[in-house]
Amino acid sequence: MPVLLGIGLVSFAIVRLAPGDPVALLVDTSLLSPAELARFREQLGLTGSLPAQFARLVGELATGRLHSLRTGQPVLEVLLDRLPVTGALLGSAIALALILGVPAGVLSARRPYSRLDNCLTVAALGGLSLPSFWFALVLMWVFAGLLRWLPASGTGPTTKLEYGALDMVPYFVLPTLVLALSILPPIMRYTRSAMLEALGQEYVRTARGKGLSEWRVVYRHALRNALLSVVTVVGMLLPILVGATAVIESVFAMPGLGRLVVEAAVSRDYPTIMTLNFMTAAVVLVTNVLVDLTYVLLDPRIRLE
Amino acid sequence: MKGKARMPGVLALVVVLLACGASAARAEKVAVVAVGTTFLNLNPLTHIVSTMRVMNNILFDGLTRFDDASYQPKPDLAESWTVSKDGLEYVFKLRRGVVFHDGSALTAHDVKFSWEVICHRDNARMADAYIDHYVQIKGCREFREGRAEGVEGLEVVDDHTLRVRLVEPYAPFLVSTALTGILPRAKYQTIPVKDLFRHPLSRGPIGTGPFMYVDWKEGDRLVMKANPRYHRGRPKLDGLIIRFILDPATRLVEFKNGTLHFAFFAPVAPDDFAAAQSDPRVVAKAYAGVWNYLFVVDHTNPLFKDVRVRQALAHAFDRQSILREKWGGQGAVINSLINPGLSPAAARIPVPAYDPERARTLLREAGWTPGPDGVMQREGQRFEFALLNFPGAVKDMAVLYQDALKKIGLAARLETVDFPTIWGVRFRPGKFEALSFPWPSGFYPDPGVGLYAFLCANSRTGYCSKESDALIVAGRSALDPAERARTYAKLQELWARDVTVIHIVSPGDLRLASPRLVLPDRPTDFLVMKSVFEWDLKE
Repeated sequence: MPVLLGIGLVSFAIVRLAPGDPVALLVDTSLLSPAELARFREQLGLTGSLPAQFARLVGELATGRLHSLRTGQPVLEVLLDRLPVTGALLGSAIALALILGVPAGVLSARRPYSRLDNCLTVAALGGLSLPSFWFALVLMWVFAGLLRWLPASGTGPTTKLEYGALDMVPYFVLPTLVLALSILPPIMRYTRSAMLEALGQEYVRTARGKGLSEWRVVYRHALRNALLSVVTVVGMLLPILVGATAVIESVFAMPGLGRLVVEAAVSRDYPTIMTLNFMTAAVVLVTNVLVDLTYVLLDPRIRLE
Repeated sequence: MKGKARMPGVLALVVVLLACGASAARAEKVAVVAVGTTFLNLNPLTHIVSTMRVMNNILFDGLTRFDDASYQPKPDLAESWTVSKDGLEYVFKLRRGVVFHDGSALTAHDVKFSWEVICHRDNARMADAYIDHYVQIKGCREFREGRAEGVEGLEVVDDHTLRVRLVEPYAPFLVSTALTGILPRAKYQTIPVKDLFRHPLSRGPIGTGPFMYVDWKEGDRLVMKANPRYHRGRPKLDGLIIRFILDPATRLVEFKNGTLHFAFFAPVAPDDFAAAQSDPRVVAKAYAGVWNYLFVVDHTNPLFKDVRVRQALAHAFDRQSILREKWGGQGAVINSLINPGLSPAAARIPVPAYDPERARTLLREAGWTPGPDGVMQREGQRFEFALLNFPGAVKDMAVLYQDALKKIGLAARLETVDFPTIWGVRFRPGKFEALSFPWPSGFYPDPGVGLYAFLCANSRTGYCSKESDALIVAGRSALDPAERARTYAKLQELWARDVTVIHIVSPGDLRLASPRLVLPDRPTDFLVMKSVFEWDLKE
């Protein structure tokens, strides 16, 4: 809680220091009398000292009474409405990146400096270098525009007024692919490094000496130790991935939290910005805890205290 | 005998089944339209910009409507009206038999209620609608200031007759009545006006328009279905879906896939437009532009106070070249803030010729001479300034301006900030030096609408002229069309003489459409959206 409050305070300060007046974006303030302007500001919760505004904002957030300056809607409701899209994107992107990245990293480590390793290294560097929005547009053009295998944007068909989860699957393929490819290179490279280190350890030589199969040596013994690094890097990449959703959701016209961040920032929607910052901070903190818990699962020598 | 008796019954059944099959096989005609902006709210009484520009004549109706190129008000919810000779009293006869989407009947009480909401003191978000359209109604100002219980000038004579009294003649009044959607008093009157914006009924509203609200997934789509009880008859479309696709590349792919039929408020790059003209999957449509790209200076800044300096700036830009290279040659070069479609005088105001030599001469006359580095100077002061702009086409234009100004010895330094900072903070006298900015004209079918922004009291550029103020007020008060035309001609001549702003270009509004979509022929895409009742989709 103190960490969250501290983060909230810092982001409140940054947002309020930024130029731009949200009231001036909602109405031409030169057309309002001073009394009207004061009344409007009071309606929006923008009166009083900055500490008082911060305290009010935190109180309203805690009780679910915080409303967006832009749309007037309860911020928590808006966030919860948009969360499934971003949650689905992030979850599937991380899963896909792990499914592809970890085996690729293991393969690279088993054949270091081979042609396969070099190709995967080049691919990883390419993936790190390419901007995700460009990649998104290219994939959209190829798979939606030229081949027409997948839809270009949105979250569901426009030929039906109502649609189910299965109808939505094709719409998530391209955005998931772009997000996954943005974190695939570091996952692959960290897996490779960790595996190289693990495969050089004495216990691996011992395991081979005992006559265990190569598969068992690599995946039951070495990889299990290497995964500690992979789990750590996934935890570190999550905030970056959350930031990337702002671009991906805008390009693919998906109503998720990333796009909401952009809309809120552009319109100086302080309550929404603050709530998103709180939520992101909470997610990062929770992720760090989950990473620590995963260590315990992977390495029985680590104990929780 | 039994077999023979059975035959007609079987035949009848076959006919019925065939008919059912045929109707089931007919696909629903649902048009999908992209907009390049997001909606905040769907209540026309609490949010003006996106809602009233798009949703009027779709979800809602006004007393009048403008949906064709004649720019003459047509009856809509009002089947007729009379105007007194002095222009101070309007009597509207409402159409009988009009029902809201919830089935309740429209009466004059609903109109009075809706307009009073706009005049209400707790409705700050509608301040520009209030100033531009409603403050002229007698009693509206007093009601807004809390000095009256209601708007005296709105009188319900009977369920289908509304008398409106104005404080002064206001020629664009019938434009006002076209722009405001009417909501049912019975459903909305119990909601405090200060809470109306965030109320669920403002997000799932009830109107009288040709389409009814079904669902709105914010940031994704707004779904509407045809109103079978619409007073002009059922629309040809079964439904309309508005999608919020901000990225032009994404919209282009959707068009080519046939999953998008039209786009509104959604610019197309000139290159994409040119390519679309030979692509059978899309139809390229060029409409008259409603955005003027301006080079704006702060009239209170000593650098720009001298009219000769502003005249020099006006001669610095090769407008035809800019239109050709930046906008594919689509658009017009005019020298007025009033759209030529609304005031023929606008097209007659001479556009300053591209003449850098003349520009330098004017600067010399104003006391500026070239310094050792080529930048003009006067009494030790260099002619350099910040050219404010925001990302996108506005910044691209600012780069072109910078280049052109360098050729006449002026050093413009680009300062790029976001639009909220410009509109909310910087576009005020004393807070900027020069600005690259697009200004709309031609959205609304009356030259007087929106001119309140150029009165001295509201001036963002620091330009203040009593003569200009008098002409703006006279123009909107004159009821005789010929007198109005003369007044606006004088106003535009004055603005050209004073060089209030430097007009650069008015690019055409380039749009894409699906070849399946049958659109009415209109000069602007705004009027096309107002005519959605007439849209159709081919199989």
